[in-house]
Amino acid sequence: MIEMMANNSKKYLSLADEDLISMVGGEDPDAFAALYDRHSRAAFSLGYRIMGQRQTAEDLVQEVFLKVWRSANSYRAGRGSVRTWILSIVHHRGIDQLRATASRQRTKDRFEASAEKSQPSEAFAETWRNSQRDQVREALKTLPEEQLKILELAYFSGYTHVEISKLMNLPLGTVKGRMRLGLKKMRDYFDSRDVAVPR
Amino acid sequence: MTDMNRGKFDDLKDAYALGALPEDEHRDFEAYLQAHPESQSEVEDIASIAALLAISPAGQEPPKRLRRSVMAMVNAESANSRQERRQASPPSSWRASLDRLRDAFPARIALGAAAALVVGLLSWNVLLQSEVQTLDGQNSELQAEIEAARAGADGTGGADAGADGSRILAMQAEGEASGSDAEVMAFEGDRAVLVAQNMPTLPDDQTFQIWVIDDGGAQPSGLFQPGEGPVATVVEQSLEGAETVAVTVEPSGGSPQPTTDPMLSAQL
Repeated sequence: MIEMMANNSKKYLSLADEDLISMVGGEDPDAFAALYDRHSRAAFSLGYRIMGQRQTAEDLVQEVFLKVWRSANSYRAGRGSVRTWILSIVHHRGIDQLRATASRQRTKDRFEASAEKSQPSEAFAETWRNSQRDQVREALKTLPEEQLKILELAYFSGYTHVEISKLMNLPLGTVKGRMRLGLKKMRDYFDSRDVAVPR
Repeated sequence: MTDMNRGKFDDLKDAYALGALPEDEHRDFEAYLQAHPESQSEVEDIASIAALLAISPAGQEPPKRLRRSVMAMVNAESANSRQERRQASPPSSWRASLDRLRDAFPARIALGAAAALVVGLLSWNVLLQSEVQTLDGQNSELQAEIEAARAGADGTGGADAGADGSRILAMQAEGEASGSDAEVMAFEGDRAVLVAQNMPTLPDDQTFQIWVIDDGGAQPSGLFQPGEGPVATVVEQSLEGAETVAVTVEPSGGSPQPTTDPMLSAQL
């Protein structure tokens, strides 16, 4: 039995995410465990970045992976990788919760309190194991601080462009412009190196 | 009706990709997209860049208890789902095939048809054997999780309290269930999975029902059927503030309130 389980583990390790998610759709808990082991760290990191607390991030990630288990059949490969799909669920649910629990003041406080930590010199000091993450972080480094801050407020804290313009006391057009320029700069980073955008 | 046009679409598409449009603009934007599907790929392209932000945060290791908790729920759901499928009668196509064979084939080739059916039934048996192996694997994993939770006990908060807040509560068995083993695995004090084995068999019109009991009375918290091996079931109600978890025998489909005495119970 132990040998059979070890062989099973090896089999799952060698399978692509797309194969695993299709097996999860057929209610294979071992395939699900393999997907969890591959992507739970990225999901938890994003959940923690959005929620700001380990316990709420934990609850969020648990909810997300149960959704992955129950809705694996709704994954469409044409819309992005399995990792992107899982992280998009983390993002949407996390932002929904932030907005629903009226914790915006806490988010604002956290943003202001962590402003120093968000400076590129510290934010990018960590060594990254994942090469795609390395590339994304390098791409973010090319953004001026004012563009990066607006992307982070929108993406991680769930603020609308109108709210950001009030929060930062900037004209709405400026906020939209910085969003556009920030995203374009990220795209340019990959284009200029002739590197495919990670998906 | 939306007043969205191409110019406004261009103005808002980056905020849309970042999820940063207020509700009304978001609705208008999506209505425009629906009316102009040719713009969809443009938005998806920007959204693929915005989605890169998801992999940029500093790495945080999820706690091990999160994996145990998620896998316990997944294994419980999987086991319940397989059990439901097993309890379903053999596919109606088999019965239909038998009926068709009886009607359509003359007696002299009935033997050949029967042989074909035997081959089919043997194949079905192989499939069932494979399912049993899979269930064995799941049970092993479940047992490993229980052992892991036990190993996590730090001995300072009671013999069954894990360092990560998990607890395993042995259930008292009574009456017909006196030969059964059952435990409640509680995570972080409020979520739980009930694992039971050697439960007495039940007629088709009865089921085991889990109850979480607190000051307000007994809350229905899940149904399960006995199996040959351990049966894991998610306790659907939170254990927060609860005094007891109990299991009774109820009519198939469950009852809003217990109608028999508990066969299993654990004081929290």
